[in-house]
Amino acid sequence: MSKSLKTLSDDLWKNRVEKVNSELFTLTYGSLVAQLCRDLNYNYAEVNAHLEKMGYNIGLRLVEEFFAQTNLGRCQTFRETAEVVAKVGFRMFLNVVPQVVGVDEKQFSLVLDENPLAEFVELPDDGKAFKELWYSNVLVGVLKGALEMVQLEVNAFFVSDVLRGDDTTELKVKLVQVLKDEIPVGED
Amino acid sequence: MQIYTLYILNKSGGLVYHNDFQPGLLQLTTNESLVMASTIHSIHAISSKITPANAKTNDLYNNNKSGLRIIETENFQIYVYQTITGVKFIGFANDTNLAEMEVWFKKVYLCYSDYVMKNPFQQLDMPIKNDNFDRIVRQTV
Amino acid sequence: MAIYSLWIFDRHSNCIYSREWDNKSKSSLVNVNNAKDTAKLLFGTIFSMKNISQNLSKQNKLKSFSTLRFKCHFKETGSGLKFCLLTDPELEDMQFLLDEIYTSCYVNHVVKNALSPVDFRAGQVIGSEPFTSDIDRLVVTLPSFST
Repeated sequence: MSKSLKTLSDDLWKNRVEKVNSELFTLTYGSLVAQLCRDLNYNYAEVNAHLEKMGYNIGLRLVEEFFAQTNLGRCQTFRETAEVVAKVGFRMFLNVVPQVVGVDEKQFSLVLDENPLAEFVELPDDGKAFKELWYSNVLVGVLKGALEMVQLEVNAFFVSDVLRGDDTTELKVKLVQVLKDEIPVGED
Repeated sequence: MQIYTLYILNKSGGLVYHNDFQPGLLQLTTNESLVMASTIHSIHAISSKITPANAKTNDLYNNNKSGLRIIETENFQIYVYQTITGVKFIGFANDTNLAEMEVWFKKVYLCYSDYVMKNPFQQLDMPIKNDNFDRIVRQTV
Repeated sequence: MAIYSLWIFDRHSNCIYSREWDNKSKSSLVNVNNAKDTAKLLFGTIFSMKNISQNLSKQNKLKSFSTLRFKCHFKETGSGLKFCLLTDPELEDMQFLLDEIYTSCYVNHVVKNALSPVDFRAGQVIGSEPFTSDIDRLVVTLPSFST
């Protein structure tokens, strides 16, 4: 199963995905976070919340692109969901494949070896940023929004970030509940 | 293969898009098409409830397709394509079969994810009034 | 390839006959589920689809509808009698079978039988044994009926 996911994602990345200059992407995201910090007076808790909200709205729409391009069906287990998100989803949109660790039926963690959003970024030295700002928090929102559209309510949050001086960038995703109020006969 | 009309329904069954490509079917007023769209939405749901108990379960993909797919009448057929997110594409066509329509629906889904989802001013689940989308869908027919 | 069940509704929207073919249960499933939800939902679905097909094209007749799991073949006579046959989705056109059930079984055993009602009241069903065995004979001998 993972072999076929890998070939699927390779094929998608080579042929079906339009690409953009990664510098432009990093600069755009960077200026977004910087402007948000300025606008919210460096209240990092609020910046995190805003980034998550933006990511949520992105995720709601991103998921349609994902399904339109990949034609994948429903995942039968949460483990499968983790695999698909990491191997196909992240590959398709960011061209990185995070490692999936700590998987069980209710949660999984994604460890990012490289983070295109945060290339060349250093957090400001004002004492607070290192402890409070999650620079790539938009990813948290994207995961929440996208999974909600397939009836999985999750809590996602960063556990560690190399920008903060940790060894790895790790994103934890916890399943809260499966939303049952949905469309006929599509079980998870 | 003749495709007469395309309807797109959101998760709750409300009509968000309606386009007639070719004449051939009677014209409906906006109200009538809204009613028809919600009727199709409901019978899609009901049809999964009246599945016979000894029907074969061939869950190859298990993806929201155990609801309604085709309605055949003498003069035309109605094809229903439901995505995993609950969006339904309904096509009224003639002289075609399910396989060809699936190919067409996938193209339309791609257009939808491009021109509708990526338009930041398009509110989700709201009616779609988008010239670009109209144009691009017409090209696929 | 299989044929699952046959349902007949009259013009007052009552289910006057049902026959289910199930390999597992040996008992005869005739007129067991007439008042159950399945019959009512099936009738409602058929009724809505007929309306849709007539709204879009005058003089249009509903032929069948299918989902991933089953296909329902439909025939309506001029007298308001509706025949629904639920089968495997791969079966193509079963109109001939419905026509035969109408002309040979229904007309012979119900219409020509003076003691059987033609205008059914609520709750009345076609209880005639020869009717059921004729239908069985027609259906079971089809190549598409699996045992």
